[in-house]
Amino acid sequence: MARHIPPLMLALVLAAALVTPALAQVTITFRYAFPDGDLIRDALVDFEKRNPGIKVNLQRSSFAEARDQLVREAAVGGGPDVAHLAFVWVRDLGIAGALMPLNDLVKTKGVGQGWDDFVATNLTYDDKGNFYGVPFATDTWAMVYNRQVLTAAGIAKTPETWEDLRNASRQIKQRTGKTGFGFPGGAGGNNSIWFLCNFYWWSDGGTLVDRDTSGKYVTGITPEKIAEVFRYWDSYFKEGHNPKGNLAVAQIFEPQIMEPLARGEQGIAILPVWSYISLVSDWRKRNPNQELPFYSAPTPHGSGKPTTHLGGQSLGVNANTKQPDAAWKLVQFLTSWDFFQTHYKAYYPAQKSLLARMNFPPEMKGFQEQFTYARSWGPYSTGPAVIGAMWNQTARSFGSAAIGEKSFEAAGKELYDFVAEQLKKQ
Amino acid sequence: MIRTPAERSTAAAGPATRSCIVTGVRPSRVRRGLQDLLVLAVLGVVWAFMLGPAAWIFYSSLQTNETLFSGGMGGFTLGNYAKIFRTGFRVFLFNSLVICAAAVVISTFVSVLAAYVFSRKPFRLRRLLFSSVLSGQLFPWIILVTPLFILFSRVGLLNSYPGIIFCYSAIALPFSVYLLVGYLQSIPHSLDEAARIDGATQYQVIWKIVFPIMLPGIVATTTYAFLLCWSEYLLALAFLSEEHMKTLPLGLYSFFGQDTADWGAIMAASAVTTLPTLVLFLPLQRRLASGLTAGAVKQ
Amino acid sequence: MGQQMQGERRFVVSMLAPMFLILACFYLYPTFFNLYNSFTDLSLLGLRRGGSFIGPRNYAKLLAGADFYRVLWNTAVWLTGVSVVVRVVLGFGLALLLNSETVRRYHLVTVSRLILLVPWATPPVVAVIVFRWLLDQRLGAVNRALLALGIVDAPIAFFGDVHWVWPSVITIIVWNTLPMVGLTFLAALQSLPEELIEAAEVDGATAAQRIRFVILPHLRPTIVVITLLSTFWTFNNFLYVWLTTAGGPGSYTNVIATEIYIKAFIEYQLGYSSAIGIFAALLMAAFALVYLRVVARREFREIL
Repeated sequence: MARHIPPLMLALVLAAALVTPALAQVTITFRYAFPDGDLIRDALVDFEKRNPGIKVNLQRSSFAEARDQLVREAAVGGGPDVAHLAFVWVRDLGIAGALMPLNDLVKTKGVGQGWDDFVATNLTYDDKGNFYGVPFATDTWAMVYNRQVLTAAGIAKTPETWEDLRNASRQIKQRTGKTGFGFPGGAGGNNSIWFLCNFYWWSDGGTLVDRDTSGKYVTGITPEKIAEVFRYWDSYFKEGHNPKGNLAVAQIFEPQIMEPLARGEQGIAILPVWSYISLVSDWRKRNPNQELPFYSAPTPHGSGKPTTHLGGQSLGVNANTKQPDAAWKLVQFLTSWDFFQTHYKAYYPAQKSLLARMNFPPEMKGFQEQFTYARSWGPYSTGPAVIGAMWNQTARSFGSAAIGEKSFEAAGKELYDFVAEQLKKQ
Repeated sequence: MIRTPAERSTAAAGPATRSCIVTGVRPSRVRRGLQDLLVLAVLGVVWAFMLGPAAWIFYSSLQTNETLFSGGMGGFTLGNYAKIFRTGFRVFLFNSLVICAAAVVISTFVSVLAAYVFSRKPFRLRRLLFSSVLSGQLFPWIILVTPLFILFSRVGLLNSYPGIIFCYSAIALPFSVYLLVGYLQSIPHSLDEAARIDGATQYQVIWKIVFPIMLPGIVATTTYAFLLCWSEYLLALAFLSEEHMKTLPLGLYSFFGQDTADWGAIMAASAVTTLPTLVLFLPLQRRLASGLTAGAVKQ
Repeated sequence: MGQQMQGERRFVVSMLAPMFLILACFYLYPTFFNLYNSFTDLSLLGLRRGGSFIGPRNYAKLLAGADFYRVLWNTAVWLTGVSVVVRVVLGFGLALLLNSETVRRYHLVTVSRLILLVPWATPPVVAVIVFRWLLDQRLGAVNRALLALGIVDAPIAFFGDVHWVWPSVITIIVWNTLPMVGLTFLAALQSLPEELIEAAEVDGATAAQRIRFVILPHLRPTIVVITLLSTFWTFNNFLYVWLTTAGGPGSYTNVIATEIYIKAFIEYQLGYSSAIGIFAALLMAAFALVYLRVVARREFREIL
């Protein structure tokens, strides 16, 4: 009898040894929506080292399609464990049942420096107090000026009001023949004119969607004001200092906008963080050892303060995940200062304390200041209006007035009615 | 009919001389020289228009991102190709080849069977059924994607070869049948009738007699179907979310970000997407021509 | 005799079954899904719970909106009509060119065919990128050439100017799809027996008459088929317009497929977009019916 025990024990020990790692080894998928997946891959190697029982499969996706794919997968219970999303998708996806509520996980396990340290958290909540995403990286837009072009046009001071900006743009065209403020005015789901119009309205005391004291969502602007701002942006095209071709460009990073900037043939632009970084890097590679002519500055203002949106990406956990604990560990890692310091250096963490620790090089000082003025989308996203629908309609209304199909008054009324219609759903 | 000496000599002239009659110019030396010049000039314009943009794509794929749009000559690099293959393009290429080839084989096989019956066998409801085949082409594809996704995920066919191959076969079927029917119309019935009299079964007639003659038509249909599946994006996007299953178009689109795009990678990806189809076409392009030919000949 | 008919019927059924099985599995469920949902207010975010029945309200909204008729016009006339006509005419010219005596004498036919394959094999998204850059107002090669040659005083905003935007979009479509049309016509042309041309010449026909009375009739079946297929593909096409202008400026180049996309994936109105899709399919069905009965009757007389 005694002779059989060692082999038996050996067998049991072996079995235990084989089974336990298999039980502990967990695989999760992380879907990342930007083209620089290489950075994330390196970071995941780091993560797996720190968490030996977890393996992460990296899925990549095109940003434009990421949300729709998740919505489809929500309908059938599939999708990645952790997903890389835009700020403004989180609430919709939560309501659609694609993401799991994170209240418990944050309360029991914590994330970052605490939930209150995260920016724009109001966009992650539904009406019942559940929230569905953790803000991950943040960015905003700011003005970018080419010092050399401004000097050549005799402009000494950085524009501060919207009128200043238009005058400067005009002057650049008149005195140097170069493009003044070249911005995209085209249509599409991710158009830029939406941002430009909102920046103007917000800095002048208006807003498309607001919340009144009783908590009801209302329009915070008049059709006349909408028309006025449309007319303002259109004047750049009509007066010629923004080329008409830009009516057909919708996104900032297209070569039609970036290339003239890089060649010094345009004086003023408005750019999101990452496009600006890419512009600077391109320019430096084309002009080695020369001083950078670009500097950034806050957006102009009307009667109020300069205001832009606080944009960014969030991380969400799939409602159908089988590994919520492992998924949460990944989320915690991706929102740690270590991660941003080591792997995700060029991005800004969506946490106030970490943002304060970020080093802004001289050409990025404007963005640093702009972050203090940036506001979250707030009622636009938390209200019943579909933000993407308003986004798209703004470009459509603006465009049809710009090509003369309707008057600016009619276009302003069209957008106003559209927003009012969206808000009826509450 | 009385022929003048001029007519007689024209009739007796070689094909080259006779064919130039189609353009209506008398074959004098100078005239011909000018005519050549004109035709070749137009041909040159056509070549420039067709090839120019594609040449720019290929040229750009060898540039760095910073110099791609600058119009400069600097920055030659193979880095873009290295990048796309490092991020999985080899797998995407393999997937596209397997999926499209399988879908085309299945759809061609099925459409040969159906086309034979449509063109050779007068049966009741033939008209109705033939029209109904085309009914699939009526819909804009984007409204098909969402329900198909739901259906296929319920049967567990997402992220799998069988699922997407089935879809692509279904997409290629309607016009494959259409083209093959048109082709079969020009092949005389007498051939298969003779074979039947000799005692062949229906199936033998199809595969041993008709299929070989139809081969050029089948090559043509197969090529059209392949190209259709090769650049298909909407269904692949919905069905294939895991990296190891993706096809080339998905790989290409993944280089578009929110605020930036990796232009060099996009150009390299485009070159890699275009080249295999060219390689496939090269040996087939002769067959392609004769395949389409008989489909247009009317008795 | 009855046995033979039975065997015959079984044969026909067994030959057709695989095809209809595949087509049914693929197209039936989406058709019913869209048909049903076009009468609901289904939202993209509500796929799990479904939408509530609202009757024909979607269709009423569709037909009442002034916008939609412009969308129809854009799709039928500009996107489909003009581009199909352009492709058929240019394709025919291309076939004549490549089949001409000059080209054949210099042995340039094969090379030309290969060159034509390159645009055909290019993915649409890349074709759009290239042409948007080539036709760029400030830095595009076309404008620079036009200015250098003195043809224009100021560069043309090809995609921003409403007079130029449709021709520009059509140019992209033509570049990407003309080779298919041209090569098909070329193949048909090459099958035309020389004797027919010769006989016409001997009868005293001019070049134009030869084209009209000999070449065109021979090519007619091919032209009929290609026109029908091109119309189907182009009418429902989404990518070219969406990637080039997203339906803009404003909604100037909005077509049916882009409208469906916007309504479904941007405004989340899946039910409404299904209604648009069903309506578009009915339009295409009506067109096909008329076309097959009137234009293609001769070619497919036996079958139809």
